[in-house]
Amino acid sequence: MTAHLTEHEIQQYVIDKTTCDAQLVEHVSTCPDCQLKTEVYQVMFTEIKEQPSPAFDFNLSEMVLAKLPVTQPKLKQSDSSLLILPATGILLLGFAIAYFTDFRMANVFSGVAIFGIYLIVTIVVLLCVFLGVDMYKKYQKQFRALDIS
Amino acid sequence: MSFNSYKYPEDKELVSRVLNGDSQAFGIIIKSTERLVAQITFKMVTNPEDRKDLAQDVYLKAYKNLSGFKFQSKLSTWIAQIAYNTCFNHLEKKKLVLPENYTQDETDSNEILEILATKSPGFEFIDNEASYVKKDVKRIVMQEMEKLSPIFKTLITLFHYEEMSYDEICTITGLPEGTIKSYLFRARKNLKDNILLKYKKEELS
Repeated sequence: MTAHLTEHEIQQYVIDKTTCDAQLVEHVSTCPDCQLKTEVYQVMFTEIKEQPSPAFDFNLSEMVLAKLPVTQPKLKQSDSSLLILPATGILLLGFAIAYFTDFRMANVFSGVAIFGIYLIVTIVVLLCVFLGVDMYKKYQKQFRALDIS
Repeated sequence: MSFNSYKYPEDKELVSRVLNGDSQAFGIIIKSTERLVAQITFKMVTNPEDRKDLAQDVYLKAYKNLSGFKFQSKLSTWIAQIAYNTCFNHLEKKKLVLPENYTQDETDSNEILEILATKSPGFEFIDNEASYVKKDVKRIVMQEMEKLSPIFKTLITLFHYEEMSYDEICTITGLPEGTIKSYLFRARKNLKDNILLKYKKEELS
């Protein structure tokens, strides 16, 4: 005869006997002490399941609907899309400054080697492509999430 | 179409309707989830007035954040998570969070089991014929459940009454699976010990 079941094993036996070791199951079938302990848990679990479900004594739905804000909860914008507005503002400001101060773009790069210019342009283009693709994917995902068809 | 978009089509329809301005659809969401929200709020908060405020707060938060719901769980699980967090924050403010907040007699439960076994041949505690005993057991279980800490009560209810999986309970409570298993083990043991003690006291009186 194996040793008595531990408290943990008794709980496991009552919750799901199939996950217990065969020796433990065999022990319970022959041990009155362990049977008694498992029966206590069985009764307890049964009583928990048979308890009446609590319910609010007021009309929750009515109360909440009366308090809902007038504006609808809108689809949240992705983080990158939130950057578009300030980025556009900065660009426009830059162009305005350049226009009104007769600023020559070529002067910026006059001291930089041609290879450096290509490198900067490539990085900027790649970053723009990456951000654009990422933004597009996020929007697609959000619209797919709402696709109920 | 992603994998997630196949999950919970009814939830998606309701959420879509709410986001398109149909507040009645939100009423349907409330009706279909308020039983679970009641389970959590009743187990975690004892004051009826607080429960009333918290239940409304839960759904107002759900409405406000509905557009952020990603359908990675059932809508009911997400709302239950809001309910749990709302009640938890309420308890935290009142310093009532600790899972160890329970009372227990120091008498060994094994000793009580022996007394019960000798005093009641065939263990009357579970005798189906003795209906009055069954009624007593029901009452004692309910009373002793109420004495458990809010978190223990909630975990026992979600696992044994609502028959939720560990994954769902993890989502609702934000606790790791190991912690939930450990808390559940202790909650069941405390409840069992307290029931036996109560039963013994009533038997002997």
